[in-house]
Formats: sequence, structure tokens, C-alpha cells
Amino acid sequence: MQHDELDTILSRRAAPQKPRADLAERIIFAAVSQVQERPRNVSFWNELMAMLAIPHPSVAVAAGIILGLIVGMQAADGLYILQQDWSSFLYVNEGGWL
Amino acid sequence: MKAPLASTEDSDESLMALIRQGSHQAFSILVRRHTDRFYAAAFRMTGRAAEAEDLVQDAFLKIWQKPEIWKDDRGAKFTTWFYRILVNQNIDRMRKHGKLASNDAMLPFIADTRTGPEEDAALSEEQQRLEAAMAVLPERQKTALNLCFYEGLSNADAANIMGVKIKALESLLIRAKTGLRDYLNQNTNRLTKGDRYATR
Repeated sequence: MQHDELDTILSRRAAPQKPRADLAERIIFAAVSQVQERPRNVSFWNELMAMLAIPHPSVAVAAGIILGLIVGMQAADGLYILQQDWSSFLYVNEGGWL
Repeated sequence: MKAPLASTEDSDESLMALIRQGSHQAFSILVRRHTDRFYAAAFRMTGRAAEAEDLVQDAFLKIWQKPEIWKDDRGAKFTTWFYRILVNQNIDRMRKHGKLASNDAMLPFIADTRTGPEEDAALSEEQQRLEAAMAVLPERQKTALNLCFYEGLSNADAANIMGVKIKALESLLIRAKTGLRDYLNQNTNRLTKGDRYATR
């Protein structure tokens, strides 16, 4: 067999069949699935902060109420102390120039 | 953060840049544009439709998962670069399964230049002999032949894809053609002597 003859045979090699029509779509779908399945590398605190963001309003409201109660109770303690101070101030002054 | 919009008018290289920014739309355009072409190349490498589909899918998913492997500053053409991904995936696949392409590769091939029943039969026989000869070639020789002869790549591009020097690629091509010629001559001689036709 001559060199040219081999080239002719090679050039007559049949083309492969086309792939199944949905191959491209299957590849695209597989890529989308991987995005959804991709593990999220976030810490517990990041998860918690993410819950306080807008998509979880119920968690944000609950956290706000708890925070409000704590601050409120602390403020109440402070007010009591202030009231005590104010009363003692009155007593001191009462004994003085009134 | 939203990925920038891609267009079907964008070049492959621009789409790759967008994929690196996480654009699934760009990925979709690239896949739809090149699946048929790379499937044909993968089929010539593997010889089986299912394996060719898996190979193309794995190669595309690789660039989706690790788009940073594309370095556009090197001035490479996307298609040339992707052939390298495909060839490497094929080598990995063969190492994994520890096998070469099977001999039933010839079955799904279709002739595209048929003119009549007698020529059909002759062509079919020729195709079978050729596919059998290709199947027994060493993988690197077959890859070199496929890239240069059927994918229309230059020797420099094919050498780059295979990670060899041009001289080495030319040597692979010469050995591939010599191997094919020997196989086909041997097969023809058997037929003329009246031996039973064998494809392998």
C-alpha cells in the first residue's frame, strides 16, 4: 500500500454519529446540580448572622424581643438606683436648708 | 453578587472569562456551541458512544468546577486548550479502567459518502478494516493521528495538546501511519489468500 492510498483511506473514514440530542442540556443540568450540592463552608456564627438577615424575619423579631427584654431589665435596675439616689438627695436637702 | 450577562455573540475566550466569574449562562452557551464537535473527537478516542458522552461531560464539568485552570493571558485558543483537557481526561479514564478502546468501536460509525449497494459494501468493509487497524494502534499514536488528521489541528497545536515536541509528534504520526499500513496490508493479504476475514 502506498502513502497516498493510506491517506485516501484515512480521509474516507466515516464521521462518528452525532451525540444524543440532549447531551448538551444534560451537561448544563449536571453543572447546575453541582452548584446546588456544593457544600457551604460557613461557620456556626456566620449561619446565625445569616438568620438575622431579612430572609428570616421571625428569627430577627424573636432575637429583637429577647434583646429588648434584657436591655429593658437592665434599664429598670438602673432607674431604681437613680430613684434611690434622687430620694436620698431629697432627704439630705430636707435636713439642710428646708 | 450577580454574574455578568453572556451573549451567544461572545467569543469562547470571553465566555471562559465570564465562567470564571461564575456565569452559568456563559457555561451553557459554551457547552451548546461545542458539544457536537468535542463529542466527535471523544468518540474517535474512546470508540464508544456512552464513554464519549461521559468524557465530554466530565471535561466540561471540570472547567465549570475549576474555571481558574483557564489562563487567558497565555493567548491560547479555547478549542485547542479544551482538546488538551479531553485528551488528559481520556488518559485518566484509561488508567482508571486499565483498558484500551474496544474493538466494537467500528459498529456505530456511519459512512457519509455512499453511492450504491456495492460501493456501500466495499466502503463498509474498508471502514471496518480501518477501525480495526485504528483500534490496535498505541493510544498516543492514535491521539496524534486523530488530532492532526481529523480535528484539523496544526502539528504545533497537536504537540502542545499532547505535551510533546513537534519532532516527537511527527514521529508518532509516522509510526501511526506505518502501523496502519502494515495492519491493512496484512489484512488484505489474508483476504486475497482466501483466509477467513478477520478484523483483528
